[in-house]
Amino acid sequence: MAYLRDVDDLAPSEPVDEPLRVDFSTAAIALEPALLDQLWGESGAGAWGLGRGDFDRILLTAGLRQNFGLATEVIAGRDEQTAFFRGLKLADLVLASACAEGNERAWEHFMAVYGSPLTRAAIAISGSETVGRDLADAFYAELYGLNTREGKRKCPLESYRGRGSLLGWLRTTLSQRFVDHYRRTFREEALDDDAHDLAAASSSPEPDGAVQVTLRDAIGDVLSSQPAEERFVLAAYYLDERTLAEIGRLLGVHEATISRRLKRATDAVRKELLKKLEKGGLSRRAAQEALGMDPRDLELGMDLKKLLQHSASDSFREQPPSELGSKSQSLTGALLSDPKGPPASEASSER
Amino acid sequence: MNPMIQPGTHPDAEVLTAFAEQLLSETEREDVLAHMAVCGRCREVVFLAQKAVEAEEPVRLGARVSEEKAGGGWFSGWKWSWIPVAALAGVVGFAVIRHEKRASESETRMAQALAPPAVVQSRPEPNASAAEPAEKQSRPTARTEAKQKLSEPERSDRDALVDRKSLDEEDKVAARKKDEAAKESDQLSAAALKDSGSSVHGAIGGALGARAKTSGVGGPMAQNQVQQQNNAQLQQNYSNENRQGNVLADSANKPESSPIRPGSSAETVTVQADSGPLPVSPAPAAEPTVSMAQMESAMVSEGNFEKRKAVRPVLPSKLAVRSQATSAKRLVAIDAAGSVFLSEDAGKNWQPVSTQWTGRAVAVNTAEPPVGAVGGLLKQAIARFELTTDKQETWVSEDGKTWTLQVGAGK
Repeated sequence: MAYLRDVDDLAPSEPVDEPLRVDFSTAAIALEPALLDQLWGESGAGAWGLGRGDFDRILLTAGLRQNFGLATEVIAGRDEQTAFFRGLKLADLVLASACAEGNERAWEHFMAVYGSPLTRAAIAISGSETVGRDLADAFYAELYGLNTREGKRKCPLESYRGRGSLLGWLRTTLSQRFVDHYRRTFREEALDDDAHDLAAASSSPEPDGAVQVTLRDAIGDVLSSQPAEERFVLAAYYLDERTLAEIGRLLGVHEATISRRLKRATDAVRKELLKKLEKGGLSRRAAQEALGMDPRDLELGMDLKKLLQHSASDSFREQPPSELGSKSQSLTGALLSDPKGPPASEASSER
Repeated sequence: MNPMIQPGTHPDAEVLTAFAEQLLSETEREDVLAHMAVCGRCREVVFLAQKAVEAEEPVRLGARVSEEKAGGGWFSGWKWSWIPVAALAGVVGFAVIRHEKRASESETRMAQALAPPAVVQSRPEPNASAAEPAEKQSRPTARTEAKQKLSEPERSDRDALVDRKSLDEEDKVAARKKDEAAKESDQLSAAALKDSGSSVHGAIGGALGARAKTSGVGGPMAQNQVQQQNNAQLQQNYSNENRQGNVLADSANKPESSPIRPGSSAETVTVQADSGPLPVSPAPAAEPTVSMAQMESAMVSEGNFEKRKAVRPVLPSKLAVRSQATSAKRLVAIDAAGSVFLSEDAGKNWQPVSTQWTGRAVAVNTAEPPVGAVGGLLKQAIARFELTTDKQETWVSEDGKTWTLQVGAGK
């Protein structure tokens, strides 16, 4: 069950990309003028007032920073450069880079294009008009470079490399800010009585029989042996309580496909668990009895429950303790006592 | 600890965005999925970003729709939407036409319904010419209104002049006919008064006669056959007059419509000359011979469209119906070629009638039998048909099959 643990919250977030400053004369040497002319026309940067020299420099900086998508020691030829730039959201990259450099025309264009969508995204993410607008305002200030590091203006847009769309990047960054903010403030909140009781109960000595230890270890091993996508689906469905439709949209598949994957994953985990338990010294009958154990019994004494609670409480979404119990019960129920699993029924109900 | 886990490191926003947009390579995607399987934070980040995308979709769709409306050529915007719009316009147009038609018919029916009581009440004397003053009073009013309308400033002077001339001519002809009919009516009324004593009749014909029958002013039947025929002739004259008079009454009742409405006047006022007697009895009278237009008007006003279909018979010759008469369930119709057909089941089945007359049949109507011969109560059952040929001969038949020349009717 180690995979259910959240990563260390105190660890630094995404790696910081230091902006690479490239002399304009280098751009003329490194990039072919014909390619630059072609990309200049395609980017449409001239429409909002970017100069051609700035455009060339931005492109060269982006290319050199990622070495045109190649390994460090490889020197990119014209084809590699063309393929690299073709694979980027060039217009978004140029705009973001120009904004990061403080180009006023770029900022005007940025606010005209992304101002309203960003505010709407912040409201949707926070689920509140007020909080969303505050979040968006704070993010605008951050994007504009009001934050400084060692006396230098720091703009998050510098880390945008043009792989995905700029709007998607802005949404993701906004979500990160909101999640991080929530997780910080969530830890500062006082525990209510129920949570305190739960914490006290979890800290109390628990019966840790040999069967339960074996079962816990087996579950951890089996889950870690599953493919990454299955594990992600299991975690999103059982821990985050995402719907099949939400998971399906994120992975780009139909919700029925997610339903089938969930069922397949729970069946596989159950089968593997039986094998593991038998290998661990249990007879087949004892293993089946262990799998047929009432999840409510498990939630009182097993570390699994604690792990689930820990993961759930660490998770972003705030949930009452009663839901935590049902959540752990649903997962253990799916893995242990319910070989058919709930996804099919939910899929049918969602459809 | 899962080896895939890299403690303290989250994928950056660039990678998570590329993951959500399905832009990562398979290897990178596996790494991200493996991380997100154990990282609640990154799961939350991507699901929240996804939520923001979904919240943006309606706005984007709305903007796209507005862009399509604003841009793209006139026809491109109507590329598919013109079909339901055209269908809707067709339905609305059809409804408007039906409504106008029905409104004009109902107005005509109102005019017909209102005219007789005005005639009767205006002069309660049992004089056949009693209705004349009222009609004279109303007709000039209607004509005056029509002339006033024709002289509206919107119309050109030439049109107004032409219309005024035509109206004046019609006025003269109508006045001449009316004078002649009034003279005959006076004579007939005098004779009727002599025969019946105190019978109260109005010399009204056509549809007005039918209305007068129901007004309860009928008296004892004391008319002989000669009087009946004279009445028929009289009513024929009156029908022509009524045709003009009703046109004007119609136009007078509809101030917002044009005074010249060929559709409505032809459809509702062409009352065929029938031989219906003057109001003589409250007993059920024979069905008056009415034109197709009158029957249709009655059907439509009752909302009975199925019956209306039956009114327009399809003759075996497939030719248009030139004239038609009804008696109970029997229908006799003449097509455009002069062939005569008989239906004994209200127009469902038709059979040709052998030619027993000389010349070509041009008109048929229903005539009531001589009153003295059959009595008022039996008139409806045995009303007879009258067929007029192009030689101005009148042939009569009670069953529509056997026709006999009416003595004294031919010229």
